[in-house]
Amino acid sequence: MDKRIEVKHIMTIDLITADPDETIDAVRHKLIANHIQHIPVVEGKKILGIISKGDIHRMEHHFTLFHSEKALESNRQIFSTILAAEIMTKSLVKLKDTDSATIAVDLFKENMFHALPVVNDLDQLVGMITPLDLLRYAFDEVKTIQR
Amino acid sequence: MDSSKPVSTIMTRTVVIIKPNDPIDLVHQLFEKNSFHHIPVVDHNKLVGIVSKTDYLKIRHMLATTWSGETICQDMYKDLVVEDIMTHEPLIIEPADTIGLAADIFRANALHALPVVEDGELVGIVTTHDLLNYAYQESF
Repeated sequence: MDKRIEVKHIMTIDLITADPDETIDAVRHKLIANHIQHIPVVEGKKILGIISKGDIHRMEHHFTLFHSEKALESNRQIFSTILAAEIMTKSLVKLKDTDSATIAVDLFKENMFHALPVVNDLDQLVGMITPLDLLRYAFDEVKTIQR
Repeated sequence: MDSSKPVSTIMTRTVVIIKPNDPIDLVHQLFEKNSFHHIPVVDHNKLVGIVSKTDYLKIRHMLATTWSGETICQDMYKDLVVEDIMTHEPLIIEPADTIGLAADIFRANALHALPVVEDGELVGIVTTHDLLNYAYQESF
C-alpha cells in the first residue's frame, strides 16, 4: 500500500450529479434512488456546489416548523420550487486529482466532511472521494498482498 | 500495516454515552457541542443501542412533516427519549477482533462507527477515522 497514492486512483468516478436548476425534490429522489449521501451540483464539468442528505433533512425540518400550517403539502410545494443552486454548499473544499491519499485523510479527520470533490488541472470535476474509498484501498491492498 | 492487530489498539476508550431514557434534546446538545457523529446508548453498563447524527436528523424531519404546526411538533419533540430513536442491537465488535475485520464491516455495511463490546459492556468505539489514521499515518 502506498499512502502517497494519488486520489485519482482510488476515487469514485461514476458520479451522479445534479444541475443547478434542478428542484430539491428531484435531488432528493436521486440521493435516495442511488443510495448516496452527497451529490455534486455541476454546470458542464464545473462543480458549483454540493448537497448532502443531511442538508435536505435540515431544510425540510426548518421549513415545516416555521413556515407551514399543513406541513406535508407545504413541503411538497416548497420542494418543487426551490432549486439545487439555492441550497447547495458553495464554499467547497476540493482535492486535486494528483493530491495524495494522506491529504484526503487529514481533511476527513477534521470530521467536517464525509465526501470531497476531486478536480483536475482545469478545475473540472473528475470524481468524489469518501472515507470508505480510502479504507477500501488500504485494506483490500493488504489482503491482496497477504494472499 | 498489520491488519491482524486487535481493534483495542486503535479504538477510542473515552466515549460519551447516553441512557435510553435521556431526552432527545440531550442528543441534539451533544451533537451541537461535539464533532462526533455517533453516541452509544448504555443501560446499567450494557450497550443497548447507538444513535447517529443521521438518525437524529431523520427523526427531526419525520416529526416536522408528520405533525403540522410548531407547538405540537415541539411537544412531541419534548416527549421523545433516546430509546425511541436509537438503533437497537447495533453491529458490534470485540476488542480482540482484528482491525481488518472492522474494515470489512465498515465497507460491507457502509457504516462509520462500531461500538467495541466485551461481555456486553461497552469498552470503546472504533470509527473509520481510527482506521484511516492507522492505515495512512502509522504504516510504512
